Amino acid sequence: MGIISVENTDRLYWLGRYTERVYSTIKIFESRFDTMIDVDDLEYKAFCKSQDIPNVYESKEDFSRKYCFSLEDENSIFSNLMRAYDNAIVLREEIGSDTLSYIQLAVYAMNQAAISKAPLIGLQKVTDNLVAFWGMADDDIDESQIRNMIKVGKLVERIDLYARLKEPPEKIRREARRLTNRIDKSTMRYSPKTMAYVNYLVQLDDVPYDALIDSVEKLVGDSM
Amino acid sequence: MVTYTDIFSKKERVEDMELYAGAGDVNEQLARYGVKFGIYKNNEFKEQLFPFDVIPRVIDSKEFDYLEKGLKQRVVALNHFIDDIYGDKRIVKDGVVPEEFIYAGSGYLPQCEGIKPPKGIYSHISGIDLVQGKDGNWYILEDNLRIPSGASYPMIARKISRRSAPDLFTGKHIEDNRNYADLLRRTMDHVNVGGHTVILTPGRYNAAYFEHSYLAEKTGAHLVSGSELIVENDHLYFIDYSGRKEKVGAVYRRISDEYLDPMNFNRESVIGIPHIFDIYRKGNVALINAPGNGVADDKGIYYFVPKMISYYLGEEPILSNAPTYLPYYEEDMKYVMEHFDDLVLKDVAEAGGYGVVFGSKMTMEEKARFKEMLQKEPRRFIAQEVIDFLDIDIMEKGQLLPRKADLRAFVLMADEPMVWKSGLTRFSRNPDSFIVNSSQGGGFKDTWVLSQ
Amino acid sequence: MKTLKFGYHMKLTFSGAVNNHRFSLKCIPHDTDMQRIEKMSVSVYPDHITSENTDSYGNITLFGYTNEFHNSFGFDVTGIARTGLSEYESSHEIHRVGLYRYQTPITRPGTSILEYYKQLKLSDLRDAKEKALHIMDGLNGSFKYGQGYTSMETTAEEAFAGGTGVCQDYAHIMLSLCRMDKIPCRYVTGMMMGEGRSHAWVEVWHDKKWLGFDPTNKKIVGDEYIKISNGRDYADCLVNQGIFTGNVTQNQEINVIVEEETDE
Repeated sequence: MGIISVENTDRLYWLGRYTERVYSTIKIFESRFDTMIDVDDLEYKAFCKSQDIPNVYESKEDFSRKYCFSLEDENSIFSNLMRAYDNAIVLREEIGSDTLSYIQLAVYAMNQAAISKAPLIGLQKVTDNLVAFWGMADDDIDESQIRNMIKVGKLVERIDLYARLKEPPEKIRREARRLTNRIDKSTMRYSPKTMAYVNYLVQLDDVPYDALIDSVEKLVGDSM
Repeated sequence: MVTYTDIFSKKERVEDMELYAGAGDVNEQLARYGVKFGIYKNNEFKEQLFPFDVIPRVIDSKEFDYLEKGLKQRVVALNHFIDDIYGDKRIVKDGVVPEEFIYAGSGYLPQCEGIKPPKGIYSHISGIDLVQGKDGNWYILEDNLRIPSGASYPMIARKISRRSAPDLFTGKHIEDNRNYADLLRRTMDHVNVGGHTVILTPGRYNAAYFEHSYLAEKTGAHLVSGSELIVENDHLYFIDYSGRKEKVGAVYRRISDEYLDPMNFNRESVIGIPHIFDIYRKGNVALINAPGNGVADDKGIYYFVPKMISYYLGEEPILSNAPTYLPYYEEDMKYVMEHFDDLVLKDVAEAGGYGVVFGSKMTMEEKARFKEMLQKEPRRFIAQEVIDFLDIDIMEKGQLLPRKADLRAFVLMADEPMVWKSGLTRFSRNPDSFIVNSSQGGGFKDTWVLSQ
Repeated sequence: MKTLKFGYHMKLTFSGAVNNHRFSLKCIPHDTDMQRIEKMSVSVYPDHITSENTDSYGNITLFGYTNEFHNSFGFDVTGIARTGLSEYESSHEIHRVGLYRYQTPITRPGTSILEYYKQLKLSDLRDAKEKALHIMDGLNGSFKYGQGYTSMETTAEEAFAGGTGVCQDYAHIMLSLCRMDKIPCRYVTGMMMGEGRSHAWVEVWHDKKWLGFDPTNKKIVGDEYIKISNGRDYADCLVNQGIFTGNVTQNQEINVIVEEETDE
């Protein structure tokens, strides 16, 4: 593998995390939005709580707008997409212009969705591009470490999100297994002790979600 | 002299070109690849797309041969000049260039005195701006020997255009310009003193960040920021994520001399690499382009370039300057005062289309004030005849419109000078403006050099 | 001719620990036509990775860095200098020293120096040497010596307008005046017998020679002086330049000893 700096391994990891966060939160938002159509306002409040984000919204309409599209709301999907973009834009040499272009396209799609009369359809274009980005990353990036660094980010984010949503243990175990397989291949600096602890936690019948979130966040990088 | 009208059939010109432009294909594709440049507006960083016009500038092979010879000659002479100025200064001794044009300008860096860069090359990548007059003659407008930018735009535009409108390219015998990365790689490898080759960027908030990252990808050089490089024991190293130190032998730096090294230049610089200049002085790393080149590309020195060609090479200059007057010389001052309305005046310290004024566009009062300033600081300005530009067509909303345009040709110096068979054609979107700089809202075209 | 024993000691004390310290030092006298340096010993502390280089003006530069945390930084340079080997340093032809004819941001004159320059009537004098003597004599009466009136950053114009300053200011004002007359001249940092601190003076180019003038003491530079570095102005001759990480205040102590060696 060519030379790569600490900063850029970090960016690859976060590129994986933010793309996953955007993709998954769009999916979650879509299903919650569907419920909100004929149920009451309270649904979005529960959602904020599960995501550990402050409820700064006035109504369900306000929530739908801001949570998806406001760049002033640092927890919005768009803000997270811009974080993915900020990481991707400095990784052209590592991931290649063609792979990078799908993040750029996702940003354009998000801008379009924000002004569209059918934002859910618009958001679908965002996820289309993210899926294409991952496909392209898999197919086009020669260096396996680079691919694996992005994947590690993606899997860490997924476990984190599933734990926040208190998803069934079996679903989380599957992602933890995939992460265990990937993380050594990525050659990233991580804490094997924390990895072992994550694997221990997910095997428990009653998964302690908070402890799991705490551990998986500490797995890679400076916080280890 | 050819234009696109000579190589496209009438149908192609009207229908195909319109289709090609109307579909917005290329600009959409450029957006997809993030082909942008950054600007600061009200202190906020914004990325803007660089508008692309589909109608290429076409230069036939004979004409380009002539340009190529002239450009090589000019760049070789400029390289001699820089070498001489930081060395023996023969050209000053022999009275060809007055010393104040060297020492009183901001481009001369005394820190570079006595330094011989690897392989004796100072201007590895030169961007020479030319215009074509209505008479068909080409004139040099400006030499850019510090960090000329822009090659990435026609490179990627060509790639996209060939995909969007393959029929337009069929049977036209156009030189492929996507080899720029190979030329650049060869140029960097030639001076590399041993180790990796890196492209040093000030960061993603630089106007030309797209170009930095695109050239890194295409040449296979590593894109780095100053904080990733370190000087230790007289050598430059890249610090790998595992903590390993990898030696660096050549730095294509896209940051200006001033910010390159806080220990030797601007002490406030946080994007530079402390002591990189000290090891460059020892010959332990190549800096591309060499620091101090500014002594050869300011608007005052421009006047002397044809004289340099005769002085160093004993040849007649192949390409001409735009007719230029130096108010520093009494005779020229007299001419400038008498023909003020016919001239364009340029402040030698300014760049990017700033500090340029047309005599004819000033009010009486402005003229009087300007003339007074000129008498006081004659070295600060040059005056040029206004060239009657050959307009070239652009396509706007299905209409062909004539616009002013220039051509930035790229000359790369490896074991021999090489001229890239293309260039960046920039045009002014405003019909009344002569200023084509992207920072002032201009657009660009591809430049087709015919191979036969 | 003299044999001078010298010691140049510099110590920076920081109010807290700093690290990531990069430095460039121009503290080592070099051989010239006028002086020969012998038995020199140089130490920089704490232990650093250090390299040596010669800059564009011919000065010896030590450069390096230390990563470790430290509360002080300094150097000790000691040795023997044989001085007065010549009355001047030989130089190049005029076209090679052109850069010393132009003002720098520090020497650029303002109204007070411009006024003074007119009074000096240098055009009545024959050559650079006579002019330099005249400037030195004049300056000695028109500018007072005094510490605490100016700082390291004070320009020639600011110092002259204020009327009082130290050797650095004398040198800058003299450079400014010489350059107004297109005389090539340079700033010199060095040591002088019995000073206790570093000294600064001026060299003026005359007939392919650099001649030393000390406007502070109104003296022609001879065997009581040891030169360390020269440049266009003070900024080219910084004895210590550094950048480091740490939000601290710093205090600099400089101790210079130059004595004639007698026991030979």
